Amino acid sequence: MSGAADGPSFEVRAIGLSHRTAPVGIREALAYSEPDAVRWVELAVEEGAVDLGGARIREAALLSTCNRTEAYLVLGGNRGGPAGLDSRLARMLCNGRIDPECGAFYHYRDREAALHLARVATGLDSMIQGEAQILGQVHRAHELAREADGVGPILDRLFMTAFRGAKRARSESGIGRGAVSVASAAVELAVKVVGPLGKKTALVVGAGETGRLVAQHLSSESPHELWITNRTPERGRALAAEVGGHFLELPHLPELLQRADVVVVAASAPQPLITRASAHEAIRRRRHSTIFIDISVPRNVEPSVNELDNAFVYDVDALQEVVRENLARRAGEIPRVELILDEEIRQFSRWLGSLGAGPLIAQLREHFEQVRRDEVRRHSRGLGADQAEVLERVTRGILNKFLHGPTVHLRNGGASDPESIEAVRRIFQLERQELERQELEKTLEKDLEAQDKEERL
Amino acid sequence: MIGLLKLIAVLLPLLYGLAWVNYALLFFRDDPLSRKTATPVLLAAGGFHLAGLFAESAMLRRCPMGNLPEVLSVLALAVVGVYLVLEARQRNRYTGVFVLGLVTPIVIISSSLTPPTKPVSELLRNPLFSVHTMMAVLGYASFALCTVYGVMYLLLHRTLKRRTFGLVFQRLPSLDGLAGMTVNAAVIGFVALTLTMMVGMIWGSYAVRHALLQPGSFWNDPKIGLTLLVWAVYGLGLVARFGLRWSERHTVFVLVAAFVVAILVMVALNTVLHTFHNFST
Repeated sequence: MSGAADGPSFEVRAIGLSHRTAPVGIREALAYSEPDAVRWVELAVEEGAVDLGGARIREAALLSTCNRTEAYLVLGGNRGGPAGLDSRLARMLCNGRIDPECGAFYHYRDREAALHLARVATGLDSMIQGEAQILGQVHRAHELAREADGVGPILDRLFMTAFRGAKRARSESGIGRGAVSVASAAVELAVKVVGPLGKKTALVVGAGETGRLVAQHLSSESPHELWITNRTPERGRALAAEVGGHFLELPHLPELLQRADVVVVAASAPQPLITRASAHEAIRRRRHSTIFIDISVPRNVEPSVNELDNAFVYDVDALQEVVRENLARRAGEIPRVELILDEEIRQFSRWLGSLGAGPLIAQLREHFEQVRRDEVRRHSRGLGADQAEVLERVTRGILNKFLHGPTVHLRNGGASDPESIEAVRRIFQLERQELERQELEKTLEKDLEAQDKEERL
Repeated sequence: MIGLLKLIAVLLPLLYGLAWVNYALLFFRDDPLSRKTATPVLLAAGGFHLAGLFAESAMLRRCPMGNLPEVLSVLALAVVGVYLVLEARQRNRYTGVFVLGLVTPIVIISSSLTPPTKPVSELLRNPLFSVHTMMAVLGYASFALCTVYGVMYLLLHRTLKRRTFGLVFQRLPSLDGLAGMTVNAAVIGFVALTLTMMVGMIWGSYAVRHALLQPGSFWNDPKIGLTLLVWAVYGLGLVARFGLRWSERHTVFVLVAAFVVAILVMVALNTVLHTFHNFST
């Protein structure tokens, strides 16, 4: 997927490390803050600021999250770059923060680099596959790189391709579906039993860290009422204020149970807070189902409550089972996502290939034009002006027709395929032509030098 | 025209079968192609079905409700129509596999039964009778959907109680939503059946007065008594839910049982029992 078919060229590179290759100690040492990332990109694209041994960074973007630090670059110069370019790039990314030879860096070029970014944006390379946060982080990295003037047409197109791929993957596959944390699984279960929470009342018993997390998730579903109760009123009131709910002291629990459609218990108590009898008393007048989610260990909702007709009880094991199922389902969606991303990257490659097709096409046309001119010259001796003009027109028309197919192929990405380039060169002996041209240029240069010497003498 | 009707009788089960396969692929595999094609294929089947009924109606110059195959055909179309409206409103297409699981066999039975060759009663040409039959079809279509959603409710209830978080958990709407749809469909069906019976009584009195019916035949007709039975079972389910505050699950059980009663009644009336509602003269 290089940007040119021959000679001077550009290539797309990705270099970085992630949770897959580096422990947290290394990741946190290399992490860039937003201002640092902007400065890094500005420096990277500044001419002469970085010594890459002949290669030059034309475009750059830096993605730095808690799980990865990666640079996406468009390099100009000879393809493949100078010897040791990978190490130079690693050194540049490390910026003295960590040892560039730590063995945690991966390098991708061209198509692999583009595919890597698309996989990262889709969450396929994340710790929790399909998580959505990374897409926002990639988007932010693109914005910062633009601010630092690091984004040109190629990186811009690459990021757009990654965003489009991620968006399609999320809508056309189940990669982002289903809760993958215990707190969100609790909300998913609640919605599955009682429906959207907009007209429902939710109750959280316990204002500790877990209770707080679940209350936040519940609050994001905008329940009709969100109640918090806790043994320590101060903590309960604080949590209620934080999530926009109401607080009632723990002795009012039976009263709250009668109102609640969703009950989440995340408290520690020596005896179960909700017994079968108290649950029965609370729900017997209710016409709709009630879900009890017990995240406490030891449990605070008697398991036999599940035997009541309109009651559904889930403990932490059940929530973890939901998470496991969802993760397995996401993993099953990966082949479908890979197909989507492959489709997007192929389009990107075709576009990139078309940028570099110009020189090869020009060379091809020049070669055939030379052949045509020679033949016309050979056969037009003795012809009249009119006949010569017809011959000229006819041969040019035939040549254009012959070259139409190969030109379209090269413009549509054929120039990004080394085999196609090689085949075109071999079939039409372009290499020899080029060598002959270079030979001629050398001879001319020698002749000119000799002429120059003679004149000086 | 007869050739066209025969062609429709062959093509309809195939189209509904294709729609069913699409919805099944959507439910079991979340197939991307089925996501695009399921609803259009069902719309095409429904449109083709409707056109066929219009053609039949024009050819016969009467409401196409003269015998069991015709009744089943109209019922299937009504269920599909109500389902498509619900699908558009709820934006959940995973329930289509269950609805078509009911509709496709009905269409297959309807298409494979040979219509009676006897001429149908002149009663079918009366406009008041059309209102009566249309209300009845709406009522039974709603009861059919009530049953489908009721079965889904029971499946999901069982899944949630057993804590198995597979496809049923993943694809079906919420338990509360399914309960609501089951009860709402039953309410619509109950109201429609009540109106059917009221219009039927008005029309029956008119028919007796104008000597279209024998005076004794109206109240002695077993269909009237058995329809009252179906009406009563559904009524019991609704009273239990709204009056006696039964649990959702118990109500759903009664409503599903009521549909079984309705099917048995329909089969008996069209095969064994003699009724003036059997409109082949």
